[in-house]
Amino acid sequence: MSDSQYSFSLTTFSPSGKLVQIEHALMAVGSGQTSLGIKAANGVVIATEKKLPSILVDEASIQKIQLMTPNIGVVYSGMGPDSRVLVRKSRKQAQQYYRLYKETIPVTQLVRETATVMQEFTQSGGVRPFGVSLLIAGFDDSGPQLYQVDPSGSYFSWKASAMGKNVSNAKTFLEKRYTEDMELDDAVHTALLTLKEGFEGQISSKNIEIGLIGTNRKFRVLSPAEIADYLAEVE
Amino acid sequence: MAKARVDLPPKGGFSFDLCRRNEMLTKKGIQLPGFRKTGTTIVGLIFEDGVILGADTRATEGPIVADKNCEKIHYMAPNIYCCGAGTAADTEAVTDMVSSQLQLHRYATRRESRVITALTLLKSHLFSYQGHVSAALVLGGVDVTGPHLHTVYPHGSTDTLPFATMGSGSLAAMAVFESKYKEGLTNCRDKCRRLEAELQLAGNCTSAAVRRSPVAEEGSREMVVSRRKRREIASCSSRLHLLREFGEWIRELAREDGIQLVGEAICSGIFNDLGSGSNVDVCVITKGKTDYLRNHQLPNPRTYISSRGYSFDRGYTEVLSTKITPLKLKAEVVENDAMEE
Repeated sequence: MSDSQYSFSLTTFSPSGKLVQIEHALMAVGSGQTSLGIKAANGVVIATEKKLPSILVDEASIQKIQLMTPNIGVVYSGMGPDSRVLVRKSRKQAQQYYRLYKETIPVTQLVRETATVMQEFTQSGGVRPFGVSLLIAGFDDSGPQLYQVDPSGSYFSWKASAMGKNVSNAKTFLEKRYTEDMELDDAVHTALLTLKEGFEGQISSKNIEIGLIGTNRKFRVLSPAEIADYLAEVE
Repeated sequence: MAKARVDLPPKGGFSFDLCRRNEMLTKKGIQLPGFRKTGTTIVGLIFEDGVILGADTRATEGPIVADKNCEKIHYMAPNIYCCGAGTAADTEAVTDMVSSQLQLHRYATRRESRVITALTLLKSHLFSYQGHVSAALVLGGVDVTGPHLHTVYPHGSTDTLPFATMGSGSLAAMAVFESKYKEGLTNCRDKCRRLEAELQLAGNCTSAAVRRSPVAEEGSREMVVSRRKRREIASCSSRLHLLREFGEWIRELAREDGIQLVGEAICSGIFNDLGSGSNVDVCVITKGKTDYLRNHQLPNPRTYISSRGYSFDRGYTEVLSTKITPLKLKAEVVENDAMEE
C-alpha cells in the first residue's frame, strides 16, 4: 500500500501512476445521492434523488437540477457546494462565449470548458479536486446530448448513465432497458423506474427531481405535480 | 508548481496609461481616428399598461449617413429594452455587457430582472469611465414593481421620468411630448395641432427649447410670456414639478395613442434634426408581453423615377462637337484548295 504515502498531495503521482486524491474524490461522488440521465431520440432527461437530512428542511427551497443556459441543464452527485461553484463558473463562461461569438454555446463547448475548470483544480497548488460528477444534458443543432464530467476533468458522451450510491445497479438496469429509438416520455418512465430500483423508502414527487429538454430546446425542471403524474403512470 | 487560481475582481475604471502617448501624437500632428456617432432621436413614455420606446434609424459619421436603417433599441432582458444615443460602438457594447450580467443574475436569483437593476449596472459602469464611454440611453421596462422609464447620461447620472427624449433630436421630440402629453389626446387636438404648427415654423432647436414650457392656453402671447419665465422653468426642480403634474394624465393614455405619440415625436426628430432620419422603430413593453415593432413607420421611402430604367431621348444632352472615325476592316481573300476532311 505504498500508494497511501502519496495520497496527501494532489500534485504528486503515486508509483502506480495514479493521482490518489482524484480516486478519493471519485469515492466522494460514489457516496453521494444517485442521479442518472437518459438520452432519447427527441430529447434528454436527467433525474436525481432529493433526500433531505431532516423533515424540517424546506424542500421547496432546494433545487439540485440547475440551468446553465436556456437549452443546457445539469445535475450532480457528490458535494452540493462544489457543484454550485462549477455551475456558476459555467454560466459565466456561456455568457462570455455568447459575447465573443454571438452564438449560443454548443453543448460540447460548455462541457469542455467545465471539464477544463475541473482539471485545473487537479494540477494547481493549494486546491483540492471538486467532489462532484456532473451530468450535463442539452439540445442544440447537433441534437440531444448527454455528457458526464468527472472530478479528474475527463468527460464522456453517454446514451444513458448513472452516478452516486446506486451506480452499478442503476447502470445494469439502464443497459437492459435502453433502446435507441426511445421517446422522451418513455425515457422519463425508464428514469423513474431506475430511481425506484435502489430507492430507500417510499419514492414520491417530493423526494426526487426531474429535468428534461425536448425539441423546443428549452430545459425545464418538472414541478412536483408533473412528477406525481409521471409516477402515477409508472405504478 | 503552478500558482493557485484566485478569481480577483477586475479593477474597473478608466486606464490612463495611453494618455501621454496620445498627447505626444497629437502634438506631432496625427489626428485621433473619428468614430461613428448615432446623431439620434430616442424617446420613451410610460402609459397605462407599460412603457413605449421609440427611436429613429439613422447612424451618422460626421456629415455622412453611415447606416440608413440601424437598430437603436437594444435588448436587455425579455421585459427591459434600452434605446441608445451617442457613439454607436459604446451603446452596443454597454448594453450587451449589461444584458449578459442581467442574464447571469436571473440564473442566480431565478427571478425576472428589474429595471432598477439594469439602471444601476449601467450607471456604475458609465461613471467609472468618467464620461469617456459616450452612451446616452433611454431605459424602459416593466417588472414586478410596475412600469419604469429612466434616462442615463454618459457621465453616469440618471433621471426617472414619465416621458423622456435623448439625442440630437431630443428637443424636437420633447416639443411634441410636452405639448401633446399635457391634456390627453382626444379633447384638444386642435390646440395641439396649432401649437405644433407654430413650433415647426420656428424650425430650430433653440426656439423649441424656449417654448418647452407648460402652455395653459393657446396663442403666441402666452409663448412670449413663457419666455420670461424661462429661467424658472429651466431649473431642475421646477421641471420635475411640472412633470409630476402631468403624471395624472399618463395612466390614461391608451396603447395606440401612446404608439402614435411616440411615432410623431420621432418623426418630428427625423424631419427637423439633421442627425436623425429614415424610419421609426417602436417597442411596446407591457406586463408579460413585449412587441418590438421594427420599422413601424417608413416615412422616407426611396423614390425611383422608373422601375424599367431610364430612357434619354436625343436632345437631352447638348452636343458640342462630333467626330466620326470609320473602322476599316482589312480582309485578304486567298485562293486555296477546298478544305480536306
